[in-house]
Amino acid sequence: MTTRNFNYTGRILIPQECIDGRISKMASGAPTLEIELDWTKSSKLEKIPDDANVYVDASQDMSFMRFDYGQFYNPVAPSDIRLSDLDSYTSANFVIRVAKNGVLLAVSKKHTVTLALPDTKSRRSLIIPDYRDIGERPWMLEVHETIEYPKIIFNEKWWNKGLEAGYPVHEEMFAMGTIMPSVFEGMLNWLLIHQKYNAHQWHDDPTWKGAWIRFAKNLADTPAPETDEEGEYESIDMVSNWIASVVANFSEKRSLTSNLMREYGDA
Amino acid sequence: MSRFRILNDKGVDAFRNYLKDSAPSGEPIPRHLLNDDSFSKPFNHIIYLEFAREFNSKLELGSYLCETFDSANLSRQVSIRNRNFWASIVLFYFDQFCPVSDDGTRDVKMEAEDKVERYPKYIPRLNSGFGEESLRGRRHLALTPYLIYDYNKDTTHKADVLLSGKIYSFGDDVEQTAGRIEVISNRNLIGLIRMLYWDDKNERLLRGYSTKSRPGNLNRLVADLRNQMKLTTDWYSTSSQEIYDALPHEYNFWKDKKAH
Repeated sequence: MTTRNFNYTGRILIPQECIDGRISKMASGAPTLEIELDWTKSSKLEKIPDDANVYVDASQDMSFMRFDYGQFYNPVAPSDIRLSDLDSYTSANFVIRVAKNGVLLAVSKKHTVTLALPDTKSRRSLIIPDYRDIGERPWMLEVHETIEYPKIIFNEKWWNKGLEAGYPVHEEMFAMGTIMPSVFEGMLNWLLIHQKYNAHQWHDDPTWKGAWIRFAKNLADTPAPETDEEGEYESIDMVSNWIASVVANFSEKRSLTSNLMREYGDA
Repeated sequence: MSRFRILNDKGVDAFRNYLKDSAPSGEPIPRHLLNDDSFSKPFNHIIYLEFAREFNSKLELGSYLCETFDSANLSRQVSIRNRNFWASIVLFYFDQFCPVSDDGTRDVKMEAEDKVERYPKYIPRLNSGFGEESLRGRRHLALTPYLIYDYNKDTTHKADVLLSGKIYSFGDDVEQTAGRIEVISNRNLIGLIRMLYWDDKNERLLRGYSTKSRPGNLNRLVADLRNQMKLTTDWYSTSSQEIYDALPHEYNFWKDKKAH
């Protein structure tokens, strides 16, 4: 079933093509959020008056900052674009809003940028990379109820070494081939077992939760287990087995282990 | 004053057990946990909290914590992720967060339905998931006043409308408000809340402001109306007076009450 949204508000959606956002690490302290806006990419925005105000609203968890980008005809970043008041120094969510006299004329969808995936140009992934000091742990999955996008957190040492060597970790076939099955399994465990989301009810969810469930169902040989009226599964083992089969199919379709073997050459 | 120590995970568990088994009957507070290396350790920022300090309101608490943390260069970004830190603050001042009643018992608030944390007012609830700790602080008796005050410390009113009242009392209204970053970070909206519900003369909220059956109550404003209005209006760039003037008839009761 397809989900459709109807907009009766008159408010215009600012498409992603108009927005180029980037989070940049500074030598010390908070990173900066650099936004460039190009209204010419959408003809619908032509009707917005030149003197409307443009705002970039950045948020993370329980923190928020608003940056005033001036007037619509020529939006310009303020002098201080550091995310000093956000609760994370490695990632930020942001929304562009255009308003005049308190009336909201246009708004964008929420975007997420991280220091690992710092710009908004590619935002079709189900999960985004980030990096952090996590001791000796190579990577970990980060997902919880209020997160904007689930993340793969790479060990900062590994990440930086990969960059130095010219082989960014998240683009490395060998690394990602070993990690992704566990990431996938972790996400499905969280969605279906931890949170007990019913895969059928959540199929049409427009957020990353629905996207992961649709992705899993497309790979499955059998229907996803359903919860009963009380939101419980008949058997957790049944769910675990279904998840295992989906992950196995995912690995097979991508020939993950065969690719790893090829990395070793024909020895 | 001595350097503040924080509970480790074992200490948090011990605190939780106290809340469950001993606190309701008014038994002594296990402050020794904060001095015992098996249950606690020095905090990695040097902070001194005055044990004898008394807080007459959530505003006093929020103000004290903000000033103390600023002096210690403890940023919100660091403190806000540390569950054990906030549990330790509550333990430290537990007599004030959960005072003993006349009959010798304590009214320990519990969320029986919450499988993740049954005592979120005292021990912050972790967001349920994997990865870096992320707290859901809107029910926590110390973290919430700190957050609200921190966002409003540069205003003249310092969010007094949300931070009035004793530190151990946490109405559903404050919880609903404090859990919304779009509310506590919006000074125009907080100004509006003051215009509608604040009794300047007696420095407290007007009676009935959170009564669910009363039209124009606080929850209607910050949840229902705000969610509806945010589709077409930008309250961040609208002054409190402008929002006030545009409110629907439902809020006339409060306008008239303040006018008289």
